[in-house]
Amino acid sequence: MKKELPIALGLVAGLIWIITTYFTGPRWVETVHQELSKWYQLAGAYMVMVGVVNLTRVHGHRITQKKKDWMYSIVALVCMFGIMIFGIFIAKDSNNPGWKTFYSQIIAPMNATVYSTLVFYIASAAYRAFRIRNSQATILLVSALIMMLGRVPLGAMISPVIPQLADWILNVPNVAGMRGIQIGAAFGGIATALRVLVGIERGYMGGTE
Amino acid sequence: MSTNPWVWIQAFLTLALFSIIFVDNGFYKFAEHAYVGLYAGYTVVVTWFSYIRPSSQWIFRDHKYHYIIPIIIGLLIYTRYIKGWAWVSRYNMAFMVGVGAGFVLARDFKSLLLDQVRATFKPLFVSGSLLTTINNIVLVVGVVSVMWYFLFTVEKKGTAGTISSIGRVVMMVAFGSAFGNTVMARVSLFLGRLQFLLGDWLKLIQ
Amino acid sequence: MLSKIGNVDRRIIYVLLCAVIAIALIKPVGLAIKVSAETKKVYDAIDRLPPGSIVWLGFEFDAGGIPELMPAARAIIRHGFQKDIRFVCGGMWTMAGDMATMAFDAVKKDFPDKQYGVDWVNIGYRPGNTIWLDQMIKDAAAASAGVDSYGNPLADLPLMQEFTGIKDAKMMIIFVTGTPGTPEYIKTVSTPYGIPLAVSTISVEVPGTMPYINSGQVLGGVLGMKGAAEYEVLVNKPGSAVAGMDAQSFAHALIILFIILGNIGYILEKKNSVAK
Repeated sequence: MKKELPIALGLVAGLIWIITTYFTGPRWVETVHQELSKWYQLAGAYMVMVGVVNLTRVHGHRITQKKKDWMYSIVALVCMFGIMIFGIFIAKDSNNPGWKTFYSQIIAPMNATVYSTLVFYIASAAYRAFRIRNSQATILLVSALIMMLGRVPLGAMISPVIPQLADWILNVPNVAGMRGIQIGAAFGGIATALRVLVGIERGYMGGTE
Repeated sequence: MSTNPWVWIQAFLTLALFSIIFVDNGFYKFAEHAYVGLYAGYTVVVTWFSYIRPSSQWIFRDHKYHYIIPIIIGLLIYTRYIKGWAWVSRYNMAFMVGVGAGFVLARDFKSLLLDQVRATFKPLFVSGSLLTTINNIVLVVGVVSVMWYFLFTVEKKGTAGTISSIGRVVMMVAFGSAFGNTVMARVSLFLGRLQFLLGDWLKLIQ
Repeated sequence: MLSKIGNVDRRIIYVLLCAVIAIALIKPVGLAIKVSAETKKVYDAIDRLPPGSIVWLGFEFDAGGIPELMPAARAIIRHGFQKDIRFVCGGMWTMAGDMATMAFDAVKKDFPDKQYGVDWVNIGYRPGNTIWLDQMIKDAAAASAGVDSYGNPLADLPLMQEFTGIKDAKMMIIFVTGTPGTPEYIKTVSTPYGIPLAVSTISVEVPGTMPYINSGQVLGGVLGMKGAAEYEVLVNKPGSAVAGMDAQSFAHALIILFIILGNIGYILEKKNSVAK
């Protein structure tokens, strides 16, 4: 029963969602749909501390066990709890100047910087791994080169044909390739959703006994 | 150079995070751990501001006590951390995944499947326009052959193998296009940070 | 010696990349930017809207999307304000509210007559992903727990008297970096309710967005930094995207050069090993 009852709850919730999406006549059906949405949002919102609990457990363990680089774990925990205390008890809303400064001067730039380091890895990977080993690799390489030149002003400066070619690749063979994959993914998504709803797919429940 | 201390802090954190590309070092580790902690805390605070605090009014002001049920469902996820009670979190997962699966079944079929298939029904001969004819043939043959490539229940020999090979070629062109665009995106990200360092911090650009 | 060109130290590539982009930013050459058909479609769609129309802006990105999406967002808001379009914005990404604040803060200086609550409302981030978006279509107040991103009651904001949900929007424009993004809007809002959808994406998302533009599910796209630069040109306010396109060009040229060098090295190495 430790698995069957949760599956039944999921099935009922999912079926209510589907039924109230398609049968929209009576007012109460609309109300049930909106209420289920609210329930989903509320449940989701209260799950937000999972990240905090996980980080506290991982870094707390590293600190107590004095593992390698444990002092940086203190930085992570101080920053996490510090910003929570500042936001909830001092700033109190997102229009607070202190909060605005925090996200625009600290969190947003750090977030952008973390992602931006990828440019170095992609440049290095392109240089090392992008080899014309066979005909298909050559097609991939040529397509990439045309795209890289055609989508910047330099391409048009070299020849007006390059951006036209890039546009053609993007609008025709790219659409064909991506659409084929997306249609396959949509089939897969629908099949998985059906398996989840009827309880065949249970992997999401994890190995909790 | 900027005289704004916040700009200097931002510049220090930016350079500390960039330093990893040359060598793993203490500044990077400091910035990395600070970022992880700050982002986790930020997510909690934003959710508090935007939903948890205002929705609590439904219970405390409007006395709609039935909203305690979804809150309990949400909180059940934390039983994962209690020995012997971890299985209770399945109620939370089942509810969230169940509604999510219901959403996919209700919405994906038409918009992501039928409409995409319908958009592939193109005339294979368009009089007066050779380019459109070629484009339509490439599109239709491309989509069919890519889907064929992923059909694993058919042995890919002879004609079946040829169609599969065409699918691979079409995908290579698409992946090449994806790679080219990915490079552009990564350069743009770095550009943004360099615009800050050279502009806002060093004042070398306007 | 020549075969060594396939084995250049990665740090040399990094330094050269930094130098090329920095030089192009400090000394731009001003390469011409040609407006693409996709960007023009979005521009024309906004241009055709009657004054006073409400447009939904989905800020579906975090700070990682700022270099490509923020210039596009600013240019689109500027265009909308010039045409007396009003905006309601929000998103499924945690930073949605803060990104919207950043975009409007940058533009509102040039439009002193535009007021928060009257000409635009920032609902901000809400949890619930597509389930929230689904609820936003008909009942924005319930989906948002009755307040905007800054904690103001939605009932007190004049614009919200005319906007009860996304169904009241004449058009949706979303700024996306990934999931949730374009497919989520297509299946939740634009397909079932027929509200026109335009997208502004980071370059990574461009190939995956094209099938939706081709099928007509998305009316047009401001695609990557290129699209953002084109939109800045269209609204006659060149900004960070236009400034970045030279650097973008030279960075691409450098990466292409290294790909070519890598392949020359590879061919030479192969020849050497055959000769041995």
